[in-house]
Amino acid sequence: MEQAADQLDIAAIVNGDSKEFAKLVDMYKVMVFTIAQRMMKNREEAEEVSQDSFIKVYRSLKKFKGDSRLSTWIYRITYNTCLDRIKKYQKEQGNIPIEEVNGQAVAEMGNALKEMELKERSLMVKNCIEKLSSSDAAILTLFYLEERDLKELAKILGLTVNTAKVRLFRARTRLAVILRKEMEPETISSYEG
Amino acid sequence: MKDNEHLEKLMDEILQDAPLEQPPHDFTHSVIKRIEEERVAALSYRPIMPKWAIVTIVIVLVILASWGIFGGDLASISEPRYAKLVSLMDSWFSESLPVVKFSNKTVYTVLVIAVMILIQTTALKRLFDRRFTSA
Repeated sequence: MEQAADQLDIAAIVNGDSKEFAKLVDMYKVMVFTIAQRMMKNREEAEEVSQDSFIKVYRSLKKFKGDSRLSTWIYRITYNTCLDRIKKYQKEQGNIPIEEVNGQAVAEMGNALKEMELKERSLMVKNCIEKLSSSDAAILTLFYLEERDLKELAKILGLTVNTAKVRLFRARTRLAVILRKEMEPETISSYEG
Repeated sequence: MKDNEHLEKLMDEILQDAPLEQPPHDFTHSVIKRIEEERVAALSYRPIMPKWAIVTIVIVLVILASWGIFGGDLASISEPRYAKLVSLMDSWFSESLPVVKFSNKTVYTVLVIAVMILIQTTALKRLFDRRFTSA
């Protein structure tokens, strides 16, 4: 992605070249929309927030100094735009309590998921992510979009690396709890059979 | 600790497979359209001077005009000086203006310059409009 980003002519965009900016939008729209959709939990709002984020990117591209990856900078703008919208409409979904997920439960879930069809598994993961709070969904999404780079994740969230690590661990555990609840014991045993 | 590692591994596996959300097919077009609209709006409505400067200038002009009309004494409305000014202007137009004579050469020159300015203004306006809308 960053190699493709190198081909972008940032100076041309700053000078008002819409065609070059359209290339940037095409390059990042899926990731930006994914972050927005997972945080806003609503397709229409996600579209609006994604558009707003790209407009902010366009307006402030001249301030981009290149001290982080372009993707990190764009995701940070998207994350903050989503947070602003959530704060404005007080839409933050509460976090579910963290429960301990032991090794056996993890193994059972893992086996059941492996047996599932890819399509079915994707749908289940998507549903579980939807049940996470906006901040947990954002942390998990950003971590994997940034190729599991904790430093970049911390930059986007405006946190220290250690705090980002703790939040990531909590988000993973909450996702596992939701996944376990979503997969009834019967479902797990039917796939294990 | 080992449980955490297993959990991390499982989450890595499933989240890397998690499908990304697809925006509507005309998403890029919508973003570019909004940017163009904003740019045109900014070009059309951005004032040359900030609001506070315009307000200050208007206030100063009103004060100066009042001072000129009322002779520095804003209370003397009963005997306004502007009536005198109006009558003076009237006489200037009726007495002095007919005396001024322009040669035919001057009149034609001014006329040609006016036509040239008119053509150039129209051409320049079209040029700038096209440049800003196609950028």
